[in-house]
Amino acid sequence: MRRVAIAGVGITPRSNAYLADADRKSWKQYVVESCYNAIENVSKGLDPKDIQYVVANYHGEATVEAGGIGPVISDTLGLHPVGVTALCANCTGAGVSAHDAYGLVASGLYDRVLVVGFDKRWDMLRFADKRAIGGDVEYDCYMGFDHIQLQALLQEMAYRKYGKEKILEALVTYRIQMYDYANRNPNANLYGVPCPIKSKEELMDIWELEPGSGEINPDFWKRLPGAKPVEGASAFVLVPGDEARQYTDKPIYIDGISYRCNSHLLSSQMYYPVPELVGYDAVDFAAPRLAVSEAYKMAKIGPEEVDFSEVFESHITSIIPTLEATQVPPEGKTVDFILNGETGLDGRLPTGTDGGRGGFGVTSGSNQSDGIYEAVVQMREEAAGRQVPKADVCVVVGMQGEMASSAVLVLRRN
Amino acid sequence: MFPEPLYRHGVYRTTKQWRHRKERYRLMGSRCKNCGQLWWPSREGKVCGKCCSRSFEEYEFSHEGELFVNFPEEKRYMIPPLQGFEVYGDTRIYAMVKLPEGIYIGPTEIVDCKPEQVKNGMKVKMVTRKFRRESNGNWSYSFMWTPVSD
Repeated sequence: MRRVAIAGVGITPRSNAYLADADRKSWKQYVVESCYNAIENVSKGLDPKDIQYVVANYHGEATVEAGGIGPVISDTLGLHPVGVTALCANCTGAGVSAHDAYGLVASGLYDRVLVVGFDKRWDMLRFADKRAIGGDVEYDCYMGFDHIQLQALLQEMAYRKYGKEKILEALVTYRIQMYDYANRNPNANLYGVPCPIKSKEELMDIWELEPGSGEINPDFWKRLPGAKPVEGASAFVLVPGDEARQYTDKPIYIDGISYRCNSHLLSSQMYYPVPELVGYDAVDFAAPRLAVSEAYKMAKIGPEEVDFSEVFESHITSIIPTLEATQVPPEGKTVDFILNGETGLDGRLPTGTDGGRGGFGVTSGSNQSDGIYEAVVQMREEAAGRQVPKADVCVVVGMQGEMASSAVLVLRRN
Repeated sequence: MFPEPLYRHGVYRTTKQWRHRKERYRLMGSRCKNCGQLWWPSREGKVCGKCCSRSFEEYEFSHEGELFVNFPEEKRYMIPPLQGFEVYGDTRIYAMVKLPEGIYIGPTEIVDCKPEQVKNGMKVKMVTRKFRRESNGNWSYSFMWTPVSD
């Protein structure tokens, strides 16, 4: 197996200014813009016609107006007759694309593979129905449940595991941080948007309806900004590691990669009877834990070597298990890790530095390639006002739908 | 205004409703004939995740269980419901129920009681309630759960 490197990255902004005319753009325009940005980002030059294969992904079937989408993408990019693998894995889709593209380059089958994750929001499906295809549709959607309702159940379980007040405080802390990072990133959706929360206390003072009741005040939710769904694409070019400097002076190497699946049905996650999964319940998020362990093993590193992370953290409860999966916070102390500011720029593990899925914008099909893009920018030391102090090793942790699967990458600068 | 359905994907075919009738009406799941593992939902036509056997028999799960976790929709989320569920508004109580067999059923729904009466750990029993329309316009019915009265 050959070492594999990222030679170029591209992205479409999620800023309000850029998305102001989103209705005039199709998903194809986002794919073209991000892919050609990535090709042009290969600093020593890459002819688009030298791309040998493309791996693409989007949120899920039926979310864009195309079926059998591989040839459509090949044509859209002007790359016929280059082959395109198109896959769907919701928010970790671009990590799965990276995983499969990695294999194509590492095996020696191809030398230049383009990876793109994209999402166009409401062209075909309305909001609720699109969210619903992020689960075990044959059961969840059929029975009338969608993503947010399932998340709400997970949230209730998380309260029980970590403590309600502490979870809410961690959430407020992270949301404030999200604005801080996003306001340092011109591409972020919340760039230029001041944080509506002036202090953590402002919300924590009102979180409970009646003191001691444990009932959350509806005003708390109204005043807490959420993660905004947006649309766009991001892309990167993979090349053999030993040839990477022919393409760029700043290659970023993929030294560990993994993809692991759990059930997409919450009730099955409670008891799945195989040794690797049986010890976890739905709120433990087994898949990222397994994937991170495998990726670290492949990269021959431990959590102590990780400098920063980009994790899937658009939901109230996902930030805690995905951070915990990195193994950097002490076991069982992830909530305290957040409360102590350890995910901030000067913390132990800066996380979501582009604004995170909450501040940069949730773009299901490109969530993980957005994270990879940010990791590469940081590792090249091109992140300007949000540059992390040390950026030698990054772990990127993805998460699919109802926490069913997770793709993980360990990126290294040298 | 429109005689035809606007969203084709939002309404399941009558044949699918028929395929799932035993699950919905009787809580019928599967038991692996090789290793004895119980599965919900039914794994008919699938493979046992524990031993990879493809041989199953029907298993009717207990119709009583314990409420493991719940979330009344009105508590927080005012979101558009899935196609076909508009009639239920924002009054649904989402839940996961643990059965004596150690199997969980969820997501599912609690009905016939006020949200404030719902407590995790309470005993619940299966009931059959109006569910959603089939593609031919018929109403279909499904299992839901209600508190067991003492």
